[in-house]
Amino acid sequence: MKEKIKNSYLFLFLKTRPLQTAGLIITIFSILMVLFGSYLIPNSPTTGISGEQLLPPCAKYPFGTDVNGMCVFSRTIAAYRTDLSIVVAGALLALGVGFPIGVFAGYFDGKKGVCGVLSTIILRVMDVMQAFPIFVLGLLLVAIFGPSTRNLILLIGIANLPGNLRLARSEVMTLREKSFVEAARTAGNSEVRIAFLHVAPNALAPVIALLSVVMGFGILLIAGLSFVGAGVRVPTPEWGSMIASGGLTMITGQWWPSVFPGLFMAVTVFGFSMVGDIITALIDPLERVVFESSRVAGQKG
Amino acid sequence: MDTLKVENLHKRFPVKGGHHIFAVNGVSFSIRPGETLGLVGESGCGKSTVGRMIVRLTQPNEGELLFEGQNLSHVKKKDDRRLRREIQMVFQDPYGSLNPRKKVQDIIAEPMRLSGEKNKEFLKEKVVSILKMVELNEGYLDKYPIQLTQGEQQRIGVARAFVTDPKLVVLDEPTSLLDIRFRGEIVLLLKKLQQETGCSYLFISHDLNIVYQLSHRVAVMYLGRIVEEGEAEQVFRNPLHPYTKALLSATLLPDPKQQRQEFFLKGEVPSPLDLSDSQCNFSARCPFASEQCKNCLPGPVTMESGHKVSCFLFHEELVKTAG
Repeated sequence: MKEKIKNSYLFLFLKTRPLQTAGLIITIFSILMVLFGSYLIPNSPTTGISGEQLLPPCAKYPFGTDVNGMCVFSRTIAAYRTDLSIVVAGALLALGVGFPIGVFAGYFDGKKGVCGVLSTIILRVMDVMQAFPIFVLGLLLVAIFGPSTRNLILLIGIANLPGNLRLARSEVMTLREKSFVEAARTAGNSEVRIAFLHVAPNALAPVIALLSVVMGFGILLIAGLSFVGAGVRVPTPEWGSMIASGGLTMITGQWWPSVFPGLFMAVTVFGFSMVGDIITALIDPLERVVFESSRVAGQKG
Repeated sequence: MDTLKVENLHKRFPVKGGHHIFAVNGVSFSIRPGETLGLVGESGCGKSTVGRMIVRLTQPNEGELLFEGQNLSHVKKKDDRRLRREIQMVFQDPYGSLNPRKKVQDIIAEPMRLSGEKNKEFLKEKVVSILKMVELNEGYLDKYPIQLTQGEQQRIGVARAFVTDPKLVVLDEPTSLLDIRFRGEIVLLLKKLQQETGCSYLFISHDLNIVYQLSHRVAVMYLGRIVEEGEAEQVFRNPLHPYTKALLSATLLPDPKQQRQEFFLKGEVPSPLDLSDSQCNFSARCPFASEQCKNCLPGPVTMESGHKVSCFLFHEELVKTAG
């Protein structure tokens, strides 16, 4: 068993990639915080104590307290759950909807018939979506449904849908010209089968890699929306709103309410992007072969 | 019965402004069981388009394709699977024609699976036996295309074509993108497979040496028309059409006895855009062109030996011998 792990591709890959390994550890840590963070925090993340506002870091409050007298450390840890669940759900929504539609639009782009027309319509709808400011949409959703987690997930999904879709589409448009597509056709595959079983798997790697960027961007979007009041409301712990409210006290020298959540946010986003690299390496046979041959060459040398 | 009979095939591709590219203009030939027909010509002469119509990647505008007497232009659903099995293709690009994300065994098994074979044991056995036929072993089953050499990749392409026991295989320049050292092995392999299975080949190529090695009969195409057709020996030893002569004089055949005629053409191949069919399209480059060549299209003339040529030089000859 031990030998098996030692010789596995993932292990060998991580051994030569310190940054990616660090990213993986950070992401695992983030997931643990989502699951068990609430047991680790010393103080309540949602109740402020009057008279203890804006205390600098000390033994009782490792990261100090904010303008409402709430423990910044407890809030930063508790925010893992709020931020990650929203961002992961939003990114998966964008991927799950955007990727198949993007494959369809790319494969049938410029072709005759209903599918060709449909792919043009899809593209024009994406143009409209991208032209529409996401903040206005966010405010609109809040005005209609009130602020909620569901709205934020929906917003992140919508904001990232065109990007995901276009990336999948452009990948598919180059792939569909390859002769393995013709080979699949002569073997008797239907067009839809070729698009989804032969072409789509080859287009997946870059879209998965984009996922980590989407999640990073999602966290920033939540922060922005929270700042204008369309996101999570105080006292719910959330990095974006903590940075925003903490920013106001920066000028008077109390840096801790926004620097700590900012640091955690940056590190988490970095972790995601490194995990994106690892996933790409795992699912792309080309990467694997290049890696293995370079390893063999390295051993010989 | 002929394995394949092609009758007056036409293919035009529309381009902007109501113009057309005349890719194939009235091509007719037939391939007998177990025979290889070499289809040669410069790039852009329409030879690949002919192959693509045979495997039904594109539809002809006019003309008939008969596979064992069955018309390929109107295939019923129930015949579709069988015809896909019986007519296969080997592609030009060895790596590009293999799905990079599929393992060798899945690539080879796919045509079988699509034709309704579900038994996994049988599929695996078949894949292993076909790998042996293309001189590879079981160690290749779980490899990805990127892990193979070019020659191995093309062998997988060949294996995929032969897994369904086809009666006709269209070879679309299967050696032209290969490194020189792999060309010979693929040619020998294709020869061996034909002897073992008795299938027919349509071998599309511009490499005359390889065509000479592999083909029983040869058809020479120029701008979408066949200008000369005959036994490989006839066409290579005694070319009749001026274009064939020019092609051969531009090639070194590995035969010291072969007398090389110095015969070169002037100019470039004319554009196939809105091609006229009221003249010999070779007349602009032909040193023997007369008024007649510029005013009407020469039809095919069959010599006593069965050697066919479409050129007015031989129309006259016939008239002379007849008179």
